[in-house]
Amino acid sequence: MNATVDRVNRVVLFLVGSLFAIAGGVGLAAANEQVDLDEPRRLYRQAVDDVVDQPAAWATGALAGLAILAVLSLVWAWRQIVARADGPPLGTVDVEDTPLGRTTVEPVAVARALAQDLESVDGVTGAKVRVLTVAPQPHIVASVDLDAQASPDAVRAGVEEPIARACRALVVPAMTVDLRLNPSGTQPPRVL
Amino acid sequence: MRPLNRVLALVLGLALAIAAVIAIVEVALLQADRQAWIVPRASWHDHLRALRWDDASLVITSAVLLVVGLILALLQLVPRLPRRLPIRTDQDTREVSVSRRALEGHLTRVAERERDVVTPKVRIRKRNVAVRAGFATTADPAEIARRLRGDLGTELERFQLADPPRVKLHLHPATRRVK
Repeated sequence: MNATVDRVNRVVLFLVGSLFAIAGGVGLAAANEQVDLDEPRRLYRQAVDDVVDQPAAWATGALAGLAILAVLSLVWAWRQIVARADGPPLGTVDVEDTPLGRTTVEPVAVARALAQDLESVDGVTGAKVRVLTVAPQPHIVASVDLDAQASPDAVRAGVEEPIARACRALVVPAMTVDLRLNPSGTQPPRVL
Repeated sequence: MRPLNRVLALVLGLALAIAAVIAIVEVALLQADRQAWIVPRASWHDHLRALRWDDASLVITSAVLLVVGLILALLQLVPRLPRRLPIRTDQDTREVSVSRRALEGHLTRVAERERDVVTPKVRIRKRNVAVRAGFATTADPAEIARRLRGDLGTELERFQLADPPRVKLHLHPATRRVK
């Protein structure tokens, strides 16, 4: 979702910028008599005669257009504040429903537990986990901070164990993991 | 660029929404033949019916629009670098990547550890890793380049990037003393 918002922003801002530049360029060119345009006062009078003085002919359409513009602009502005990577947070999810009972899981709790488990891996100084989907196969994003001495290979191998534990907790054979490594300058803890 | 665009989009979105709401109210009032709410109709009318292209207010507005519009449009054309660099993986259920910024910081620290290298700056671009660094004037730049290339190349190999970039060095004599 973040990427979509950024892409839309880029396109809309490019169009708005181009529109501003064209309007400004035409205005300056007209002021310097490089383009032959009617004077603004004449255009304005014409607009008053044809449009403003007859609101019944255009008001309904204008009101509808303005209402759509207002809603779209608000939605666009709102997206800048609430845009989250990879969608909204998940609610409680059913993982198993048997005649003996139903098992539910809180994705936030799974994420927190997995993050703590990942922090125990050698070379990892911090971890954040987001659960994107639980069923049919869980999909998580795990962002791990590596210490200055960490081997990316060893960390990649090391995170498999906590992931396997999370799979067992969720009663699933496997999960899709988007593992994001963040090397940092943090020195590994010294063992005395 | 992305955070700046977010702020610009938020401001523009809110401004457009407010302008549209004001316009809705004003059009409705005009249609009902009632007095205006915010827009000073009489003074706008007087100003617009005498407006010429060479009016100072119009020229200044046009110039501002042209400059702001050009900056805004050109900013959007600047190519964006990826936030994350993909890492090779042979598992279908694993997608591994490394933060570009964090890797730049890591490679900068690796370069800083090198003897006779002063204030290195590492930038990861689309196809290469650009390293700018000063070197002690008493040192041999060719030897420093060889060592830096080797160290940074080894570090990049450790991350097994899917699209390994080439190391490009820009070395210059240091302007301050090496500790």
